[in-house]
Parts: sequence; C-alpha cells; structure tokens
Amino acid sequence: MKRRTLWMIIAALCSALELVWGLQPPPAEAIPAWARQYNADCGLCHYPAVPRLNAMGYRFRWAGFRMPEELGQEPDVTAVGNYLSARGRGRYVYADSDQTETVSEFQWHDTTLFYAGAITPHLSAFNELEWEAEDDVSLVAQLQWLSGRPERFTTVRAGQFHTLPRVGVGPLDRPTGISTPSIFSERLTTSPVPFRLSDDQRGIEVAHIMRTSRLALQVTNGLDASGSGTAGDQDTAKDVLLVYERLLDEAASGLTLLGYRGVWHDGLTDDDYTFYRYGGAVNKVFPGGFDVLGGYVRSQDDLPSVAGPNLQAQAFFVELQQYLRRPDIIVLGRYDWIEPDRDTARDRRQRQTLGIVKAVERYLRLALEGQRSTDRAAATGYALTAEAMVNF
Amino acid sequence: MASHAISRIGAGLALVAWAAAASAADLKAGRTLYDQHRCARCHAINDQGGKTGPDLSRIGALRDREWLIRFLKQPKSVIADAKMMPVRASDAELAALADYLASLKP
Repeated sequence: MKRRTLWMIIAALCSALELVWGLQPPPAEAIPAWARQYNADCGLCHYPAVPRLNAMGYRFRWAGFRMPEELGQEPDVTAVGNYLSARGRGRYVYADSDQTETVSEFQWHDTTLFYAGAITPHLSAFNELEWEAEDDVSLVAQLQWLSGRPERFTTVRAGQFHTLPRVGVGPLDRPTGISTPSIFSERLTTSPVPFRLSDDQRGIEVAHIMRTSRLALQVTNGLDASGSGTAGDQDTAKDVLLVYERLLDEAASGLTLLGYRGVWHDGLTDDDYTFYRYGGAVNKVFPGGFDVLGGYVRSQDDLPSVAGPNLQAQAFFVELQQYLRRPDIIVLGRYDWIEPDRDTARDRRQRQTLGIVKAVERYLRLALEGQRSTDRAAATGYALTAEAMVNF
Repeated sequence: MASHAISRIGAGLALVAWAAAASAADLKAGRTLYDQHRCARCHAINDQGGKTGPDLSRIGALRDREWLIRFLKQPKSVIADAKMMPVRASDAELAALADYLASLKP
C-alpha cells in the first residue's frame, strides 16, 4: 500500500512536470537583480541551470559581484532593483527507512531575501536572510574590499559567510540538483566533532585572484559546542582554511584544493579536539553537455587521550550530469561514499542519487531527486524530493 | 536657364545638408540611448567599455540596420543562445540605436 501510494505520488509529480513543460509561460519580467543590472539572460553567468555558475559567474563573484573590468568604477547604488532579489523553495519529501518513521509531506523549505552587489568602487556587500522551515532564520552578511587590476586583484572578505561550499567552483558551487555531495554537507568522522565543511562561519578571508586562479586564506571562529559557526566562539583558538581554486575553461569546469585545521572545544568535558580536512574536487564539462564531477576529503580528528585514539577517515563522491539541449533538462547521478573511521569495519555510509532538473523560463526551476542510502551498521533508506525554486 | 540650374543645384545641396544633419541627429540620439541603457557595461567601442559582451567597434560592417533592430527587440530570435535580454525601448528608439550601431565601421 505504501509503495502504491509512493508510485501514485511519483505519477502525480511527473504529470505536474509534464504540465509545466507543455504550458511554457510567457517570458517573465521579473529576473534576479544582477541579471536585471546587466540586462542579461541567466545563461550569461549560470550553467547548466540556476544557481550553479559558469566561468563568467565565478569571475563576477570573485570580483565582489561586478565584472572584473568594473573594478574601481562607481556603481549606481540608487538602483535598488539591481541589488534586491528573493528566492522561495517549496518541496515535497517522501522518506522511508528501516529505522525511522515514514515521512510524506509538503514543505516550504525557505524564503530568502538577498541585498547584494558593488556599493563603492572598491567595496561590495552581500546580505542573505533566509527564513527556513520551523522558523529558523539564518543570516549571511559580509563586506568585501577589493584592490588591484581586473586581471590581478586582492580581496578581503569579513563577516558571517559561506566559507567554501556554495561559493566555490565546480563541485563546490551550489548543486545542479537539490542535494549537496555528502563530503561537504555531512560529518565525515565518528568523533564528537560536529564539523561539516558546508557550515557557515564568522571570520575573515584574504584572497588573491590571478585571471583564472584564486588563492584564499580564511581565519574563522570555528564551531561552538552545538556545532554552530554563527553563534559565537567558545575558545580563543581559530580555525584556518587554505584554498586554491582554478577555472579550467569558460564553461563551468573547475579545480579546488583545500586544507582545513580546526579546534573544537567540548563544553561538557572541557576537552579540545584538533581536526584536519584535506582534499580536493574537480569537474570537467565536455562538449555536448556531459559533465563529470568528483571530490575526495581525507579527515583526521585528534582526540583527547580520555576519548580514545585519533580517528582517520576518508570520503569521496563521483557525479555524472548530462545537459539535454532539446528538452532543456539536466539528468544526473551521484555516488557518495564515506568511511568515518578507517579502523572500524562495517561503518561505511553510501548514497546513490538520481535526479532531473528543468529550468522553466528565467525564474522557475523544477527538480526531482531520488536517493538510496545505506549504512552498513544500521539501515537502508529511500528518499524522494521534488522541489520548485523561484528566483526573482 | 543657367539661374534655373543653379537654383536646382542649390536645392539639392540643401536637401543633402538637411539629410546629413538629420542623420547626425539620429546618430547622436542613438549614442545617447547607448549611454542611457548602459550598453558599455558589457560592450566596448574602440576599447571603451566592458568585455562581457562582443566588441561593437566594427558591428556596422558585420550586421545591417534591420538585423540590429531585430536583435535589439528580441535577441534570441536572431541568435538562439544569445545572453542579452531584449532592450526595452520604443520602435523609434530602437531604430535610432540601430542607426548608431550600424554606423560603427572601421
């Protein structure tokens, strides 16, 4: 019965997608702020679909949300519509596993306001206020100072920001589909350290951009006892992230190498944990719209002596995407693999993801993702997520 | 007879001068629209302007006025994967902008 219900829901979602395919709405007047500013189509900076960027989009972001050749030029800050954007995401989620209750519900994932762009010839701002489900509110607020020439410049970014995932290149940009690779969005070890690479943090970043490369050093508070990077600092130690990024072509191919050293203070036991993450991610977009993405992260958590021996872990993912020009859709498949403790057998976690993404005109994106998760120590789970995302 | 010819030549010259003046005015109007729509954010003319879009210094030698008007009205109708959005302006303004662009020849 459960399975029949699931298939009925899938059929209904497919019908809804088909309906949207068939009823292409007229061109929308409302387009996001920066596209309005440059009177440009989304495809100028995004590939293969919003919100993932292409090389032009990466350079635009590196230059503080302006074209690099506009460095030093006075922006028109009175045009509020060129700075203000909104996003909404609604979802249907079905999840079933051996160990948890079955979930079948419609969700309003978030409503988000952006006010961002170049505010002086050498200063940019990015503010993102996201109301999430269950009244959680998250804030990204940063100032970015820029100095140099279009082909070679230095930036200093300070505030409460996305550290690397969602603002990196290639696989470290926002995902084409709905979910983010596990190596960035999940805890990679079994120690109490609650660190995830995708956590927002407070701190400062110095970066140097040379045409297609970017070298950045971040110093941040790190995470508090609850695992939040935006709720203050519990110790005087700072976390450090060193990143090298390189654009590999004008499509959306990119390479990232990263090293992270953090210190987490356990408020209950008053112990400090030092942890390390090293790795990289790369993707290549081939002619014809075929995209191969992958990433690997090696982890080490140095535990206090009372907590046991140090932990070593590793994780990787591989993703394939194909952009089909005629129906204007992207199909994708991803395999995530996490070994959270190399000395413990039967603790590997794996996830297979299949998805399809369809951009409808310039403001609406529809996506459907199915996932199968297996945890050798625990359970097998299935999830289906359908998402409608609107940007204007 | 001679005075007749002279007056005809004078009238012809006056017409040419008027047409040239009108054309110059149209080009000036087109240039003003180019500035008002901030086309230079993405396009360069003689090395002045952005590099996001194609250089327009020789666009008049590559495209004619009618093609330019069609493109300005609806870029994707002419180039399927064009990244520019339609220019929001009246037909007369688009014609003036196209006249200006068509005049850009080496």
